[in-house]
Amino acid sequence: MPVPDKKDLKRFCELDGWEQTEARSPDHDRYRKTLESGDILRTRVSHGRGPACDDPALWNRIWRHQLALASEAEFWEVLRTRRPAGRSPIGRGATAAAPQQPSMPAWLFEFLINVIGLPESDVLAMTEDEAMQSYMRHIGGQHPTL
Amino acid sequence: MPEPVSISLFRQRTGPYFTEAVHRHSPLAIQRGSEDLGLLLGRDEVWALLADRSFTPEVMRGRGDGGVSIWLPELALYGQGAKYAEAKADLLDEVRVYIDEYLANAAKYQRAPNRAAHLPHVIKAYLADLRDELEGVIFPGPPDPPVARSEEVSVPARR
Repeated sequence: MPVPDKKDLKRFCELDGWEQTEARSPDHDRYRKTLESGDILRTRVSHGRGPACDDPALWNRIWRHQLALASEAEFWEVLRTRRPAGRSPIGRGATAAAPQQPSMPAWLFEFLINVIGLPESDVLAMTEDEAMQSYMRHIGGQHPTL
Repeated sequence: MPEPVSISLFRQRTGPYFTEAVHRHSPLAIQRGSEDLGLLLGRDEVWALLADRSFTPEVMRGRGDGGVSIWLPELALYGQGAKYAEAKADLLDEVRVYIDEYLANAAKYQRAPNRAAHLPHVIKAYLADLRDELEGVIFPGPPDPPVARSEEVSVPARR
């Protein structure tokens, strides 16, 4: 499924009963919703046109953790039906079924760029395993204790 | 065990009590009536209490011509930018906005099941920003390498 446009995310917040908060900034509007459970959801929508975010992996985290939806399809269902999301307590957040998304720890990213001197674009193209192997080669094979 | 200081006595001797708590590192309990109890702590003591709270930002690549995203799982926040530095600055701004929001709605957010556990990280980020150390706290360096020991037992370490 595609990453939604900013206008889609804004429309979702309107249809799902979110309030716009006062914490606006030159670049973003922010929205908040309190669920019956007492959970407080919050998200932001950047000004301008285009995708709500550039990265499917980030979008995955937004719908899961900020919008507290059980699935990405639930987001589009709200836009299609113009009705608030159901958010069953069992499916909310969908952490158990979360697919692995490509990412790497920021410290590793920064080490490869700032210490080893790799170009940012090269590091962004690496998997976490490849990045970790580069790091370990550089420090002499000692795996960091996580 | 030291008895709490009454709020009226605290009002009269705010300066000395503050010095005691902050410079002499002695936490001070302050009581108002029979139920309200506060605790005055110095910065160093709060920092020590939060020492085991760390942040683990994750970097993700955008689609197409690039772009970088950073997700901060401890506070469910993100930053975006054309380059890493931009995404990082965006995330730090977002953390500051969230600190403001959380502390302005502290009672409500601490009651929210999905926000209550954020409190230590919010306080740590708040204190770090006051110390001008927010970037270093949100973006810590590499974890400590394992320490070579003669014994079999090793203690995991993490910043």
